[in-house]
Amino acid sequence: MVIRVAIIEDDPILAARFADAVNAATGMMVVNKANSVTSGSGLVDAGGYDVLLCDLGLPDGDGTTLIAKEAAKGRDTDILVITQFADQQKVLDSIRAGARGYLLKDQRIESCVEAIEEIRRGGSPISPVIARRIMEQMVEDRSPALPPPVSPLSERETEVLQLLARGFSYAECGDILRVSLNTIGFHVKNIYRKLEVNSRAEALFEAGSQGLIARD
Amino acid sequence: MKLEAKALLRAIRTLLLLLLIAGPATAGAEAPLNNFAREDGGVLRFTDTDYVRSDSMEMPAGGWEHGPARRGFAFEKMGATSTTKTLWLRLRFDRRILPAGPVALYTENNYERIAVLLNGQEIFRNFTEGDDRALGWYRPEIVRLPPSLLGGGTNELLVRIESNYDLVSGDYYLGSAAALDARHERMHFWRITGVQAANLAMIVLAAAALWFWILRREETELLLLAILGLMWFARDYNFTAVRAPFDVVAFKTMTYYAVYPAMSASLAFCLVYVRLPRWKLHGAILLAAGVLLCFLRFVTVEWGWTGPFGADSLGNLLAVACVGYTASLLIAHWWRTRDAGAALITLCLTAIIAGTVHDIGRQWDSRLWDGLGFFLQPYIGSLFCLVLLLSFGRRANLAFGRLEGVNAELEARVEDARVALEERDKEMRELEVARALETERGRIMREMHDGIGSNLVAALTVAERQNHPPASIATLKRALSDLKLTVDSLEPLAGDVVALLGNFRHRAEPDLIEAGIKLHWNVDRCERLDWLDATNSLHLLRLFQEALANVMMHSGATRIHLACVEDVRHDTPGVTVSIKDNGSGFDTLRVASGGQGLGGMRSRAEAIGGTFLLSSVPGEGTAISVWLPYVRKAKAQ
Repeated sequence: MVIRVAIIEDDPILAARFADAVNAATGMMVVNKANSVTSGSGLVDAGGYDVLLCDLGLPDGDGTTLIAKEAAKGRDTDILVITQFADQQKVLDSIRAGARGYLLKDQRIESCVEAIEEIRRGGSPISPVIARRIMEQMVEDRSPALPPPVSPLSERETEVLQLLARGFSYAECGDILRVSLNTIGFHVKNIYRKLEVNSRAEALFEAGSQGLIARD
Repeated sequence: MKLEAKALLRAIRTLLLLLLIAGPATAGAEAPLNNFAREDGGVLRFTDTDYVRSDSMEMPAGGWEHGPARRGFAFEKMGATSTTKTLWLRLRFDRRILPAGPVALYTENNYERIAVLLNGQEIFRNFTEGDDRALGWYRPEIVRLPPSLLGGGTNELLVRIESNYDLVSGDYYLGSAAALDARHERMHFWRITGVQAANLAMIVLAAAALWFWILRREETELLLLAILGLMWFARDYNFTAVRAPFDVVAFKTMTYYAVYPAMSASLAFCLVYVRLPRWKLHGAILLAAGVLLCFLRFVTVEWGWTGPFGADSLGNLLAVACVGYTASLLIAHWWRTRDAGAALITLCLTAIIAGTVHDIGRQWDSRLWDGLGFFLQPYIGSLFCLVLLLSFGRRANLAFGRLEGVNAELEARVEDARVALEERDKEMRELEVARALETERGRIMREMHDGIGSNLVAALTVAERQNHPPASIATLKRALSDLKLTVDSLEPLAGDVVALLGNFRHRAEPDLIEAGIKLHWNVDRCERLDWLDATNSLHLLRLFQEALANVMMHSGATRIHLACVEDVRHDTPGVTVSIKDNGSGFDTLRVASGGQGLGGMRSRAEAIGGTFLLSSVPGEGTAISVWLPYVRKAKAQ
């Protein structure tokens, strides 16, 4: 089964680089491209892809809105963020919006193909800094003003997150926890999903409380 | 001339005496002069008197009896009577034994009202005619003898004593008005003015004590003080009153009964005052004794019961027992606690016992001594008030002291809080400035990276596609990785060195894989390094980058072991990050310390307050380590 890839990237050189790498790899092909929020929105509406590569800094707006839009469709699509220097906060924001991983613009082009294959197998790449951020937000420093997480992390997920935050790779995490590499990937994807769910619940809560304040 | 007259008079007196001795029938015709004792200041006190017990208001025509003129003489302890009883006294003296100038009669201790007649003319009375509520038993009286009525020779003083209660004759003095005035003034002060002042003060304090007790019910001594004050006032009022406030018999009855509750309340007060253990029990015993004493008086006076030891004896014994009981409890308590309050109240009770003995001794029906010339009993109640006042003063003083202490402490605390607040405020401001600087630096760096970075990426892509020389490509890659390192150093990790290392691995591993080097990761969980800010992080990241670059470029290693463990050095806790490779190694003695970027690594480690160590064995690989303290010493900061 061929993995259908859509690319939203305003830099033509970069877009071409990714497209070349994907098309060169076996088992995947680029099916659609866009270079702005406007055209990207139509791309998302049209659908017909398995993996969406999306840049965040688009000329007419923030790519995060497109990620959220894709996530809202509820399709079996994996979203990877294309980011300049892995600005971790931006990556985290896009994960909260629905992304499941990221590609660095300067990455070796082979790793881009690997990341697409990995995410289709059910795994998600995660950097130690993002793991640490997620831990802060979901496990440790939760603001008392926020509601308890709708989907709290399981004990195992927390363990995985702690190991990843200490810089261990998936394989090492699997060795330490005596589980397979795929299981770790599965846990991480779940962690991302929960982060997204919780952030949506928090947004609702926030809106609700602001509404209350406005009514007063 | 005078001598002749004196001699003549003496002759007549002798004659009269002879006549008296000759037959009692002539006694009424010409009575003899009365006898005197000479006292201080040339004052004469009658030592004998003639008297007639007659209820008639008219001067008795005869029937005079002779007896010693001293209190306790010619009395009738009648108790309450509905009719007024009268006793007539006759005192005869020769004017010539008195000094020239104004002379006066001084009298005290008569029960109850007196009228004085000189040679048949009334010259004084201490009551209004027909007022049967008039009182005067304790009031000293001075009567000037009018020269116009005073004969040059024998003079006769008649004193009419009236009473609706006990009927008693008092003491009579003759002398110069000046000497008797002085005596009168002194006695009037101690008997009347002093007692009135003390009792007035006492009743006001008792009212105040009652009010305080209503506010603070747990202070039983205040209630007892109110009771004892009221009872002693009821007891003492008759000492100074010129008129009974209500029926005189009822008033006198109240006066006598009041002494028992007054005594009981006073003794109970002593026990409560010293906080005697089980004071409730002892206090109840004393109050019960007070009730029993009232009852004993009632059966003695009203029913005429004499008991096993005679009237009053049982009551007196019981009263003495109560005082002894209280005194022994107080002394025992004082002995145990050595409390100043207990000592004071014991002293006070001792003084009261002494005063009571003094009073009993000079009572008109025992008359063992005259003592101070007045009773001490009316001062007892106010003594307790004084004791309480002293204790209140002490407590108030303590309370004020404590209050001042509290105030001082509060002020000190406020000052401490203010200083702490100021310090925190200062720290906050400094932190804000630091954070603002950090944020701004981060922003500028990112702007630079996003601009330069995307151009570098584009240049790299072009260079790779157009097969530029490898050196150019390597330079572009180095520039990019240096930019990434700088961005990573700006990551807000709050001193989490492990996360910094993890991020570093994330960046560096693709290069290691490309170089065919396997990385062994062994990172423990560590505490945060609060001093690890962006600048220090960049130093550390460059140090690691340098180390990895050395491994990749020079060592030919196939394996790197990176570890991070907690490590205490010289009693200072910290972490050690070490990188070991299995490469060729080198002779550390032959390689200059500045070679292969080693000097740079060392100086970076020192710049962030860490310790750099290098060890290498040719053929076995190289190991570097950086030790970082959790808390840096002041000079390193």
